[in-house]
Amino acid sequence: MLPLTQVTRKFETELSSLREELLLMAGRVEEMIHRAGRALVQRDVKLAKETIALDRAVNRAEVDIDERCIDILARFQPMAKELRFVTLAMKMVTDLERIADLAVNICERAIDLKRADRIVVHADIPLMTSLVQQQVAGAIDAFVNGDPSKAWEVLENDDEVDLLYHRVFEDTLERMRTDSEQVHQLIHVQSVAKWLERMGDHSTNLAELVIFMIEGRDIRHPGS
Amino acid sequence: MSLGFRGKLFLLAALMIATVVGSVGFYVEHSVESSLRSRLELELYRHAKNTGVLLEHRVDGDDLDAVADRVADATRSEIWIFDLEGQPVGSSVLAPLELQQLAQVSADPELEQARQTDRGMDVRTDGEGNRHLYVAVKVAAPQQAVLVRASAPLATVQQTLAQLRIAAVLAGIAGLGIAGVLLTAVGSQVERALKPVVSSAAAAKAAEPGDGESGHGDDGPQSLRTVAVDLERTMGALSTERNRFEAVLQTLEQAVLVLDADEKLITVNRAAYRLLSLPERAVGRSLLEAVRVPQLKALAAAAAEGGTHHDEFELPSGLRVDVRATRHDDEGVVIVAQDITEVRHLERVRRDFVANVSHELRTPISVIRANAETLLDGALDEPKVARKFVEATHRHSDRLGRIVSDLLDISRIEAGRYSLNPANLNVGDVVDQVLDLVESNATEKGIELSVTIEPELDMYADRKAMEHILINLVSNAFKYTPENGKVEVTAHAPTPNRVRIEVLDDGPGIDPAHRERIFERFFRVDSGRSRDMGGTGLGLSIVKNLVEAQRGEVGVDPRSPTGSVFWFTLPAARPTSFENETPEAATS
Repeated sequence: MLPLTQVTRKFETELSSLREELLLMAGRVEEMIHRAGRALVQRDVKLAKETIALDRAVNRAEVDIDERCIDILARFQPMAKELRFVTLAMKMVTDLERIADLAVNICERAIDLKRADRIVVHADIPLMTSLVQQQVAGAIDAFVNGDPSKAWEVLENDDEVDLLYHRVFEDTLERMRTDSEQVHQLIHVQSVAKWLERMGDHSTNLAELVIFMIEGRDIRHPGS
Repeated sequence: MSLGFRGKLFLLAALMIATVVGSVGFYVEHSVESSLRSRLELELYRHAKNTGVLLEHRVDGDDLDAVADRVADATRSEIWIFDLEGQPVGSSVLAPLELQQLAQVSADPELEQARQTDRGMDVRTDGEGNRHLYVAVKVAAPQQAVLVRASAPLATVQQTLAQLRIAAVLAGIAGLGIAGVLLTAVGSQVERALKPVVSSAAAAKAAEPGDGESGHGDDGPQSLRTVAVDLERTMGALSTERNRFEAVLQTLEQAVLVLDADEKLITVNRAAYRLLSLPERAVGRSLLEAVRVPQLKALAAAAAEGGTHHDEFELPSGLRVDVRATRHDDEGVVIVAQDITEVRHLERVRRDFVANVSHELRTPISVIRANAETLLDGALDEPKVARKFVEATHRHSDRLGRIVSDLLDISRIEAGRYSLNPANLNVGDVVDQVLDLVESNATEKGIELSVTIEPELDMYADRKAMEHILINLVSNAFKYTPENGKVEVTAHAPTPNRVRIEVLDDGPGIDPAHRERIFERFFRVDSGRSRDMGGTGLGLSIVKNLVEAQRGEVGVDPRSPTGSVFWFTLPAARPTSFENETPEAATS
């Protein structure tokens, strides 16, 4: 049996590695959002395909981090803040992986829309992409800095993403009415906006988890 | 006589020990004396009180003197009994007869205090020079109230204190002995360790020109002083060097990050904060905590294994960076990143321009050549067909001429050789004049044209350039607006110094990705369609150059739900007094 100090050191090393893996995964997901947005707006099929390929690394990271968390729970039985951190990591990877999947969906639509050269992506889509990217980055920054105020900011800014989504929805609907030939492509544009809005929701989940980790209180579903 | 190094150390230790023993001894002696005296005082008080109890319960006729003797025997103290006037009535020292002969009334302070407060105390030296402690109490005996005094010499206290002083002196001597032994051992080691330093410092001093003889008498401390001065000088030089390095690092345009073996940031320059959007106080954080860019992490990991590694990638901020990572001596990694966004953009613009210009020129030339060949091959002999070919040749040579003319215009504007003569112009007049020229295109397509211009709106611009700009923008709007669509021209002054003119169309709109490139030379959103419409691909580029040459701004925004808003701003008209001044060289 290892002496106590050695166990503590090993535990700290494991937590530190977990943190690094989580940050690397978050970095990949942020990169995927940025690339997906650019691939869509610039109709860059090559970039879209490269971005889709990145999803494999994100999926792998999700499995690896889950395994590491279970290993830490089994071997060290963490308590209090450390326990919250490990459980948070397990939940965070799920949200990050879902965001990556949504980025893949956007890339697939970018490839589809390339064939329809005339369709114009709604002007608010790049803005939404940039906002969602900032939201995910904000939640991860709050996690890195242990800063609950940053996480609260993410929760507050989600309304802006929702607002943009509704604007895109209304405008696309209007265009469908006036330009029925483009309905098929316009549905793609509408789906992209919906996925970006879902990404925004996942970033708020991340922010709520970060608040739970730092303050130890669960702020999800406050009314229930 | 001068003391050696060990002598000085010993003297210092002796002083320290003497100071410590002296101050501790003084404190302890004072405390012990105070404590012993308090204890003796309490003891004497009890004896006096006990004497009082015996007096209260004595059998009738029992002698006061006998009581005093009994208590004194039992307590080894001196007991005196006085009446309230101070006349002794019993004593353990004197026999009753001697006492009777003693007609002296005592006025000792402790008796006086006891008379007044029932208790008194005093310390006095007797005739033989011994100090005594006296404690007196007032006792209400059955027959008469008396004062009982118990006293004892303070010799015991003095003896205890003397023993304490001897112990302190002995401890001091033992401490000095131990210090002497330890300092001899430590001193030898220190001397041995310093010997090479002293020797080299002395040699260095001897080697200094004109100072060869000095320092031989007591070269140890002198040499150490020299070493200290040298060290100070070296530290100063190192500090200057470090400040210089810091200044260079901070003024570099490239981002520099230095990581230690644990991938923690140990040095970061200002450019790194700017380029990589690092959080505040990034130093001390891990690379991934500071900047979550997987490619950067991969480069750092590869460089940590050795060698220099290079990559080029786009950051989440959209900036493109060229990054090199090299392992440094301390097993950490140095990362240098350079912003190449603008370089890559210009490369793309140049590449596209070369490709586009060759394509644009080749198309009419090919048509002209083909038509000429067809005519030579016999079409000349058929007047009807020949005319068609000649017309096509004429049309394409016109197009070629327009391209060359536009290219020359751009080249002149960019080189500052396009003659601009700005003056105060009425915006409404210029817009009306331009619309008269191009309105027929709108009528043909059934386009509804509306004009909204603030009244009395004047701007400071070159008339010819303004017409050129407006013709290009309005013609484009007509071209891309579908039949029966709507085109609007508006002009207003957003600030007192600027005039903003907008041309709004009902066209298909411009993809966000193309918006920033639409003003590049020969850039086409939809190349086939633009060419079909007879554009040269240079119109918007000319607009941009002409607007910017007159210190204006130009851009395009989307129009909801479809279409575009092309806008430009130019300076508002100047006050009339300036009109006659020399026209500004706006192209400079």
